[in-house]
Amino acid sequence: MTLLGQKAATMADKLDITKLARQHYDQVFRFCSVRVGYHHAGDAAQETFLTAQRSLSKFRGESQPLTWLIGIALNECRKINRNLKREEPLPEFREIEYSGGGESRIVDREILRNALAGLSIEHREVVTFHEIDGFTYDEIAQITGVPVGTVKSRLYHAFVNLRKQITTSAEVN
Amino acid sequence: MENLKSFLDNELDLAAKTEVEAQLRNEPDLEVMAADFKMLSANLQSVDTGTPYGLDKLELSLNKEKAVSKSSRNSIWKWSALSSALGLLMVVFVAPKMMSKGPTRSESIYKGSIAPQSDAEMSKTEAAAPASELDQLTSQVTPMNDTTSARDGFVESRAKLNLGGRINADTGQSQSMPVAPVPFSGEPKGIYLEKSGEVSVKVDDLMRVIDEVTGIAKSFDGFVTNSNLQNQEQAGTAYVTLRIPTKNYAAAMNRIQKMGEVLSVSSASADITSETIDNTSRMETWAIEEQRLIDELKNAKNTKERLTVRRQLMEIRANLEAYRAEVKSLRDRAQYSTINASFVRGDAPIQVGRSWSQRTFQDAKEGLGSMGQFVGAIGIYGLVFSPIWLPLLIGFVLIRRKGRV
Repeated sequence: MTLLGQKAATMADKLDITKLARQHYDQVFRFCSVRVGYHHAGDAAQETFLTAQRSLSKFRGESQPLTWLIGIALNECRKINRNLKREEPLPEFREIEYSGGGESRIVDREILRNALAGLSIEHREVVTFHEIDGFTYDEIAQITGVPVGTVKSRLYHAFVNLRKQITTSAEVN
Repeated sequence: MENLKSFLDNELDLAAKTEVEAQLRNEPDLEVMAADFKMLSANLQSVDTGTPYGLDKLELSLNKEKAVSKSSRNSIWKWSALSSALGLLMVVFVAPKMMSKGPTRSESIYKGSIAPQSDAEMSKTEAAAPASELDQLTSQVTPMNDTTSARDGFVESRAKLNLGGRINADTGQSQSMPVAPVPFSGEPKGIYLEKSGEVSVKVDDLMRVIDEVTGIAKSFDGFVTNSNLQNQEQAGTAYVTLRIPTKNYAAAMNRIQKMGEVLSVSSASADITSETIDNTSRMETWAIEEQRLIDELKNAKNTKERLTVRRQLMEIRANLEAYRAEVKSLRDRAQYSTINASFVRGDAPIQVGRSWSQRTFQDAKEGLGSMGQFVGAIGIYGLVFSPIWLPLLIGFVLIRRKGRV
């Protein structure tokens, strides 16, 4: 057995999916809810952990268990959307009032959803990962398999685009 | 400027952070952009993902899957063990029974169980064709001067063709001709093996060897087919070839080995079952054809027809005899084993008259033979034990595959 294989076997022995589920289920559920909608999120999250249990021997311990689970969840969500023959649905936002800049501002939920829908797939993905799922740049790089610099750049340009679209929509309205 | 978002997310190192802070102080537009970014972030983070559900169901599923996985592993091993046990039972109990099961039709003929019926029928048929009729037939067809010489010529030709003694060349009387070969003295086991062995023994008195070996052959109902003795001053060797009934083969080998110090001993068996069965089947076919022609001869309407049938009958009987002889030879080969015994005198060098290259070549040849036997033995063992290792292998592969999934 190779060193990597031994490490993987040791990691697999240490990991208990039931414990991981108790630890990370909510986060995985939210992740799935954003991508497949609330009604399918339960199935996606459950399938994620079941798949993780079946492929436990493949976990090499090179990333955090949560990152590994999120990778599986991402595939499960894509599978569900593919089976439903639809694109990834846009997330539902709560309407909030923001007063961080000193000036109180409310962003319309629909405008935000439309702005998000107007982004390219890569930009929307990185925005979702960072802003909605709360992953750090490094974690996003690990999950998506792109360099951290690319994540930074994509995020900045995604925000510039969002800002532009929201400003335009607000002016029209 | 691209660092603005990273700055707001606190993902910059100190130097870059200081640089962005300076830019923010000097550029009001950038500050507005930063405020907008913050506002956007806050709004994006307000996603409504709902209350998670399904953890309890998941835990149940996980436990169930664990149990199923465990039980499936157990069941795979159980099935493997069960099938191995069954395979073992088959090898131990069923296979020998199958081997010693009743003989096939061909074997029956070979054994002689069908023979009496054929004999009786043929004798009857032959008796139905009286000699006077034959004489009449011959006299009609053969342009001879008198009937007696014509009769003699016909009988002679039949005698030359060796029709199994059915018609006596001298008397012209019909005789019984067995269709099947002489049955085995022992009960046929279904498998016919031609056994042979070689034994090399170092003896003190070479002169007594031939007599002693002949005695051994006789005591086991066998005989010596060949013997050669060279008893010179420097070297003495004797070679004897014995034919021993297969059932006494092991005992005879044992007796020969006790004659002195054994230098080498080897045994080999050649399976001649298929050859025997094949020839027996062919013989059976010819016998059936012969019977058909005999019936045809009996019902022949005119002389011409009878002569034609008789000619065919002669050809068929020739073939039949050939196969009968072949089957008899095979039977003898299976019934008698050959032992090639070589004896060297105690003070003589073991390999007389051989150069080192010849010895090496011989050794290499024997080594190759041994290796072939070894490989063959492994193959046979593998095949015989397949009911044990095959299910285990399948179980192992299934578990590995399941693990990978």
